[in-house]
Amino acid sequence: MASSSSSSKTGLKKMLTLKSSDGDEFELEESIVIQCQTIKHMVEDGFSLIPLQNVDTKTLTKIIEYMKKHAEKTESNKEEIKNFNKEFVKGSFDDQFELVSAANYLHINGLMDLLCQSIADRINNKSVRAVREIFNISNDYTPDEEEKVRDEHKWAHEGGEFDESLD
Amino acid sequence: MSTFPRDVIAEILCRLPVNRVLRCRCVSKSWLALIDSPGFAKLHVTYSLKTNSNNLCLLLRKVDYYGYGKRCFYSIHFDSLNSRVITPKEMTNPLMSSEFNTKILGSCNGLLLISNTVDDTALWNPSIGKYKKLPVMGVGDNPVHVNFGFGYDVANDDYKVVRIVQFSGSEKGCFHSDVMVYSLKSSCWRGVDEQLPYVLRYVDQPGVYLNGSLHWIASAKIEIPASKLELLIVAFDLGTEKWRLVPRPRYTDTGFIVNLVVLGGSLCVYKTYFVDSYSDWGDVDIVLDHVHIWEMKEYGVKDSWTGVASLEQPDRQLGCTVVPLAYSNNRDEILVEQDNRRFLWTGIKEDSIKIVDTGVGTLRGFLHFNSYVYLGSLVQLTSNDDLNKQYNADKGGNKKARKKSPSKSHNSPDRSHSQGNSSQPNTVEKDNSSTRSPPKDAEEIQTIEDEHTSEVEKDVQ
Repeated sequence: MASSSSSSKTGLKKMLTLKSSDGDEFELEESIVIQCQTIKHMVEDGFSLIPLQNVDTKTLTKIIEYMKKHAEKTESNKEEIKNFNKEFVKGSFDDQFELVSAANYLHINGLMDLLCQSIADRINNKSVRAVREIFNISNDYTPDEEEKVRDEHKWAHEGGEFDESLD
Repeated sequence: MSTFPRDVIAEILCRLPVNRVLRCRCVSKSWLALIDSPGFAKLHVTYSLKTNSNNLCLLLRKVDYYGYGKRCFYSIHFDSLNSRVITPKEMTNPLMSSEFNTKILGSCNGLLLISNTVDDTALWNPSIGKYKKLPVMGVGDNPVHVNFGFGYDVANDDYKVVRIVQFSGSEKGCFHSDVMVYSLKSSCWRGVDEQLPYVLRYVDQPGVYLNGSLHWIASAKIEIPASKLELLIVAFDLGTEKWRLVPRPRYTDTGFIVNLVVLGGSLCVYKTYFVDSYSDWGDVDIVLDHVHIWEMKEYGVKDSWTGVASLEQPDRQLGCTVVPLAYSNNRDEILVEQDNRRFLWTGIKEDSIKIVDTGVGTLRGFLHFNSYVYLGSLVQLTSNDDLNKQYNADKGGNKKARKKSPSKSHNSPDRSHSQGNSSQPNTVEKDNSSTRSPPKDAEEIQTIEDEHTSEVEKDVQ
């Protein structure tokens, strides 16, 4: 739809439109969007308007921000990208989970790696209870069962205080 | 977030160290199932290897000259080597024996091959506290030496122990060998068609694992003096079970001992040079002079052998051994074990030496030790039979068989389906030799049960 009109605006660059689950449309250069494997395959199949039913506007905005920045990656701005990444993963767990689900669905490997590592670092020292809360998982063990599982690797539950906070 | 995809959870958890992952088994039943699955263990190993990350550990084995004292192991997480206080963790030796000091004969993806004698060997994953004794396999009459190796067969997704027994040959200086392979999947030993056409040079150096193959220093035959020997690197491909030669560095000098080691994912040799040392009393002693490390930058390419470091012995008075263990994360330093009693970070480009105080010696009477690098991993020691049994137990609700205790493999006799080996007792129970061969009846019943379970599994598939 937008592809032919936008090409004229930006010279030879081919444009694509991404549509969020809320119906908002975002126009981007193809060279930026092909970091995303899922979209790359759709482009190869001839699509120029790409509906993303699993990604809402808020998440898509963040993901586009990430893709734009990483499309600028060169040898000389490594430090800048590093700082960008650091800022990018600062949101709440819920925001991170929305992003990681979207990155997984869209197959953006770099973003997937960044988010998974950041979440892993953040839950590294959390207590079991905190991990459950953070991931919104209900405990389906009986107290006896849980104790048994704990006893199988007792040492893993020892060694100092675990973090009970949820952020 | 209840609809969080399982593979995303796996991607997150595979970035955690083993003890953290194990703790997460308590989160819920579905997390437990995910973490205990072979696929997840593989993902975790792959990630750790790829990133050369936080999962490396050192295992310290006490060297006990007097034959008494506790024969336990200590483990030190690699990352903690730079912290001010290191707390080595005591590990229970699954082959604990009052007679033997247990040796480590191989390390791959978190599993260690450990041994008291050729008849008393086991695979052990110290990170999850599981082990499995290997079936006893006789070595034959008058072997000259027995050597082991352990690694991962990528092609068949199997872990294999290789045992080489060498005998004197008919021609002087020549040996013939008997090569056997134990497969973890099938739980049995099997002979290898292609025999080793070389003589292993160093009896006490087990095979070094890299890229699906085990590597040894060998020569065509034994010659005297030893300096005339051409030292080759032979490799055994665990997938094809064939021998081949790997290009070696050019040695332009003599008078050294060659060892193989894997550093930073590359095959390396280190050459240890000795010199005569004269004490104030006029005694002559042979002491270590320096160690040269060569790295095969591109596996299998002869011209890629490059000298990477020369480690000088900082304190000749005490010097006997220097063993390189691993690169630091930024590859500026090499961690070495010196004289079986301490660790040093030695600079590669700069001449720097940092002593690592592990606190092991002074705290625990652990004055001398050997150290081994292993990966913290979740790899299980399950064979296909165990999987069938597990399946059967889950199906039939046989709680006893399902119970996960470190002695699980201990209590369940392994069967010998192997070719030409049916008379071999395949089970080792405890260290007491009288319990080694299970009653014949029990073995048969076990086999029948297993056939039954195999069928059940087939039905389901």
